[in-house]
Amino acid sequence: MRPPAGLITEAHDLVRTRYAPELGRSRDGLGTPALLLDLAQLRTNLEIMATGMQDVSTTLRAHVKVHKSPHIARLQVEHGAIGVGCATVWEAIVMVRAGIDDVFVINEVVGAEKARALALLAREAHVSVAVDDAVQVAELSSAAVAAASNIGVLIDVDEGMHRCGVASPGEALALARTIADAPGLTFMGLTGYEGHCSLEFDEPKRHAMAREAMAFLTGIAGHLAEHGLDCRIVSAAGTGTWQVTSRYPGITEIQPGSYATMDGHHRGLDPRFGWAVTVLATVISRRPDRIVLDAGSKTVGASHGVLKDWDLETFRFDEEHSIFLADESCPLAVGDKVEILCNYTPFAIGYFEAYHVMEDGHVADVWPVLPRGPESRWLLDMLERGE
Amino acid sequence: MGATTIASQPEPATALSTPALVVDLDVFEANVAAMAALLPGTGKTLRPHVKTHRTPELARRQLGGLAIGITCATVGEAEAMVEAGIDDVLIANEVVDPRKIARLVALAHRARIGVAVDDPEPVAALALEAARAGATIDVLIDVDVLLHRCGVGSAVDAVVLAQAVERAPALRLRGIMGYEGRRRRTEEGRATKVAGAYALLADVRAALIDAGFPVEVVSAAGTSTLREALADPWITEVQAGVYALMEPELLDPGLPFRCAAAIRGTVISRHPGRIVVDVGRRVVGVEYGPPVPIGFVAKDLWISDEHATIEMDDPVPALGSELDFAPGQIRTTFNLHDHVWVSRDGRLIDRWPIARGSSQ
Repeated sequence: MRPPAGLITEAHDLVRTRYAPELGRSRDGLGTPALLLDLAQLRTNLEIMATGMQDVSTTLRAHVKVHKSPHIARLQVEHGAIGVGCATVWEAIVMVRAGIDDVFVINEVVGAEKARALALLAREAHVSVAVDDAVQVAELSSAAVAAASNIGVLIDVDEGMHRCGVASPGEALALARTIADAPGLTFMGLTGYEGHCSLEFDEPKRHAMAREAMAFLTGIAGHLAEHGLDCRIVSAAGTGTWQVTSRYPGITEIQPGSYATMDGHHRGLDPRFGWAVTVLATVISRRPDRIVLDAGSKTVGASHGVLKDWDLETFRFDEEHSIFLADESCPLAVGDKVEILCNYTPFAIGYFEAYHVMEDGHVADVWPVLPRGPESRWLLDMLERGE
Repeated sequence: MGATTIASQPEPATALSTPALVVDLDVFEANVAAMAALLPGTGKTLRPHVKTHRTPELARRQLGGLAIGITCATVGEAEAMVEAGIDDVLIANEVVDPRKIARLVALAHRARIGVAVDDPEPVAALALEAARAGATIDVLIDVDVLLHRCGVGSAVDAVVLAQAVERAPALRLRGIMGYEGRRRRTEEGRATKVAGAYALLADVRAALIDAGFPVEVVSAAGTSTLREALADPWITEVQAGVYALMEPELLDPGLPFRCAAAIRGTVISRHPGRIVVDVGRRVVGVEYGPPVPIGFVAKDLWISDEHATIEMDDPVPALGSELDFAPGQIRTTFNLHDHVWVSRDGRLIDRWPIARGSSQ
């Protein structure tokens, strides 16, 4: 892995400066609401995944859209990930500048500007992208030719979620031929996301659904191979299905993301991973029957959360407040700090610019959330300027 | 902490890249004018709540006439607004952290600052810090009128708290506030609940006056209860905020406000009877429902992290088409963006920064 470029070190310096008074402080001395990252738990999660990947033939591609942290992404690569997956071209630019050599935008990219961003980025690293339409292929090809670069292309397969993706072997074959013939592009294989499985909490049922999805995906790879188009990569999976997909014959890589940071939803799917990210809040009002915290849906996200270390029933989440039932036997008082375990961590991360990195109960560092997005066109301008 | 975003750089006004937030300035201004027209003769002033958008350029355009100042939810929002030149700010929320109290007091050297209180302990901390800094802070006693959130629960508690405020020379007791919450038009027992909330405010007001305290300000209400608040005899000031931008769920034939904000997305995947647009829950708030299509009809819409998947009649729009949606939840949506594009007569004319993340 290359060292992080100026974009990353400057963003890191900026948040370290902005939160300088908090460095070294204990949790109870921090301003709230704050996004806490438990570094030891993060490392534990990454090690659990690395251990799980030792016995299988697939490789791990860590999806970084969950955390949008160049620093966490680097740790994931240090723990065996061969590269990262992104949802946007802006995330891809940041990850390449973080020093990561293999970046896959696991999403459809449409529009000349974003295609140009990918093409320029492909001069610096192995860049690949998902497609499900010949229009995207034409745009990407023009951009790659203009930039004199080469972009890897994977066909997005609809494994049953009915969102993006081609839905039949015939469509996949036609698109694969279009890609193979397009200058500036290299046909790499297939990608799919069985997101519909991750809504099923019954593990045997979920695993059966995942096997069905993998059968469909690898069946398409077989169909392409029969027609002389080999898939070097067949990529799939999230944190809810990786145990099936990582062992499924014909799958070459898995692309989970939430295993690193975790949240209530994903712990329901795989409880071996622990919460590494929490939202720190302060009790700002104490009533005889309840406490009111200064973190609500505008910091924890629309999926809300529960308290860490305190077994208190949630009364309600408002925008700036969350309210928990606490009679007078509960010692929490105005000014006390508590942590919220998010039901869905990615939503919380969208509301913060930085993580407080906690080690042994103290702030060891502050890491930027980058790119915050959604509009990050300045990153394309940076590439255009050759910076 | 500052609200500026990391590495945000100037961009030309033509450089909109989806997903992006756009405000129709014509509709926004019409909403502001419609609100201004409702106030004369009611004896009430307006203190628009700017947590709705956290956008100083929008906040400034809501002031004037009977709109005498703004309402904020956090010290960070207040800092961004004072920085933009707004000189009368109420933080309608409890501030208890010593460092936040210090920041709040520092603002009082640059603007008239008020804050809500519901507990003697933070009152003492606030009084000490204000005295130390030689500043004066306006204080409103927060009354829990309906939400069971912050606020004192009785007139007796309010009087005890008023005594604590009165003892502090750096604090100026201005009155009381209470928020009755978002009350849907169709909510069961709505009229009784709102009437009960305002009756409690009136009781607390009367008890404080009987005990010899001044109550110049009775601050309450949001957009959903605007009509009731304007008809109430004791409320002096309305804290509505959403009216300027509106949300689909709050549209009401009895209120003269229309939706002024949109999320603009691009069609990135198309299939028979289905399109996928790059507008997901990472860029639009969904607490009051999914984004609502503007100018086209969806048979079904489901939203995931990065995508809206839309079922619609063929022929579906071409790949690359831009589509607009009215966000279901304005406040959480604005807090996910660095800036809002401004359109007039359907053309983009500017881009204004949002004090995103000013939650501290």
